[in-house]
Amino acid sequence: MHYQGGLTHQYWFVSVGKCSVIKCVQLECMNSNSMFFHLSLLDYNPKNGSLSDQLVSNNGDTELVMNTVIYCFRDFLSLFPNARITFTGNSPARDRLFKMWISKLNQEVLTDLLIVLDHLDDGGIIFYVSKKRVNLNHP
Amino acid sequence: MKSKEKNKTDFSAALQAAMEKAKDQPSPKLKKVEHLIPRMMDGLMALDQLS
Repeated sequence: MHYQGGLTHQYWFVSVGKCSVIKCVQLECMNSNSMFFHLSLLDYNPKNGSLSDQLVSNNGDTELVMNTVIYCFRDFLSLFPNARITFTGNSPARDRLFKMWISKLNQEVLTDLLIVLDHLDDGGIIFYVSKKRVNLNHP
Repeated sequence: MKSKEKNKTDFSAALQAAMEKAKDQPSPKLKKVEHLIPRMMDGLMALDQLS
């Protein structure tokens, strides 16, 4: 389920594992003049109606959640082909998990996306995503 | 089969309700990475040279 409010976009979905958790992929414009967006993967807390990046739902469906995030990249970049997306995990461990996931998919599935990693001194990783450009000068 | 359909409807209603409540909330995550924004902006600009 996609929602756009101003320069912010949200993709809502339900993570169905050990229990059902409502999640939100939120893309916020980082600069009102640009197509640079920051992505957050958030859990919806039904108790107080807030979005949190702190809840560790540990719902046993990491693969599905990762695939949904990839789906969001694709959908968003098809709507806004010139957009650039950046994100980072909640911890270096999460960053490594996402890096492994990307490496696993990269060869076959992510042929249309350019994903660049920027390693931080503390072990964290900043990820950058854009649509791959087609070079029309090449046959 | 009916149960699956009912789940879908339940999820859809729950998603709609959650979205209505939280649709205009800023991301708490973005606030936490404010110190990284200049580096992120540089990285995003550099993507143009690679894509």
